[in-house]
Amino acid sequence: MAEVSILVDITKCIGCKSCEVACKQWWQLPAEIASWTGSYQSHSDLSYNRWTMVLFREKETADGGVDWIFRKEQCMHCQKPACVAVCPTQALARRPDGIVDYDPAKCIGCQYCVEFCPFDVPRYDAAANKISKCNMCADRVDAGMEPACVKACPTDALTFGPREKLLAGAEARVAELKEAGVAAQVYNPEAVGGTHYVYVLPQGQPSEFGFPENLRYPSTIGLWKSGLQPVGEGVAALSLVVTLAAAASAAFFNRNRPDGGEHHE
Amino acid sequence: MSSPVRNGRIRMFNLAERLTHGAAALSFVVLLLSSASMMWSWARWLMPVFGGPRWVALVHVWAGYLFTLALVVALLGGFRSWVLRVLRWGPNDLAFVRHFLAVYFSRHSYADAPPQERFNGGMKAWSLVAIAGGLGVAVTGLLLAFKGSVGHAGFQVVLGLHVLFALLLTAGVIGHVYLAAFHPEARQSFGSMFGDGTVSLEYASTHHAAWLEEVGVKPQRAGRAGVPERAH
Repeated sequence: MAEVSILVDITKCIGCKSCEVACKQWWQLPAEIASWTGSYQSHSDLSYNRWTMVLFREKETADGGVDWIFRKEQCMHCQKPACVAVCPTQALARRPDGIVDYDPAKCIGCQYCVEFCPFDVPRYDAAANKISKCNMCADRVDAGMEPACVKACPTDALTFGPREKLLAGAEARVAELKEAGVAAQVYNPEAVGGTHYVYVLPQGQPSEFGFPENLRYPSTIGLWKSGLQPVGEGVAALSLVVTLAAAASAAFFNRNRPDGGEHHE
Repeated sequence: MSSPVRNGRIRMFNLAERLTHGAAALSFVVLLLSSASMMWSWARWLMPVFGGPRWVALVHVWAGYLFTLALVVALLGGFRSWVLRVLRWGPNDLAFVRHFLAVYFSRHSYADAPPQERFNGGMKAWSLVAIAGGLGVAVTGLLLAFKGSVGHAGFQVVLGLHVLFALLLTAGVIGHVYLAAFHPEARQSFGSMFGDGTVSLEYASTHHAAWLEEVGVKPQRAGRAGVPERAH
């Protein structure tokens, strides 16, 4: 199956939040009334019932003016998803098309994904004892439709399609912006093998758009999964094997001493 | 001084020891099986026993609190006797440790080792391993349960250590359970620990002769340890 992606062209986003609403509507997530955040941003953060939202930032320009930055936030659907690597019950799984899918029925609420996600995306709810996150509307994709947020976007800041085509489109858009004097770039971070949410960012560091400063795939996963746990499993297995041998040995020696009397060496 | 022997039996484990050991044993079994059902897909079938995906992680955490409580109570309550008796190593303890593998494999009898105290050399060594492993798994477990205290990076490291401590402790527990519940010469102690705390005078004589001397009881003639001698 060809990999899919969503391209977010920030230069086309008008901050209308249709994507937020469409996501809530499709997944029938309850509304959450929040107090004023001090800006045009609707809520302060993602939540268990808010899988995507538009971050609003103000950035002072060189000439003293103000740039408005809108950046849609949600699960990035990493090529190399840390959450999938640490999820003990395969509630999180990377599909062949690149979507990092989530099955709440399998989730045990351990929150390892919350602790290991380099983008700090999954949100935990204690009452449900589960996490939640964007699954790129995997059900709609399987039915040949676009994800709800993409469908709702009025300016085509969001586009969905085959990954290769969207990546080429992103590069073309960056070239076009550079020609217009905007030092744009594609955000598809190599640290996590690339992401299935690909962004066209106007000038500025990714951190100015709310992305992590030093994005890294957690090396602690290797320490745990390829180091500490196999060592522990090896020692426990050795103990079991030695003990089974001891039980067999006990049967052998006691058969040779059936009377249970004086023990002779 | 009246004899501690009643009906040919002598008390080896008092009520406090049996209760704390019971709480630790019960919680350990729950902790081991619940984590197995989470960590290994081949053990997933056990998960419904602990309430399925909705409850298993929470059951694990609460069993961890019980385990930690049992460990702390045992350490505080038994600290004095542990320091005075268990940490004190004599030549007979070391001699027992030298016999240990042969005894474990039933090639030697317990009676082949020199007379042992209430806690033999192997039990003394196990107490160190169990307490170190128990503290390791309990402290890392508490840090995971109160993860706000360590942050994301801290959690990631502590989780690996928790898994390691748990598996190392399990390796020791496998041997402990074999000796106490299945070893032909030692399995009588299982019924004692999970029963009224007494062992037969015969068992005490072959396994803990120095202890009997200490409490003023004359050990019986040593036979093949723990196995009744044939009537002549």
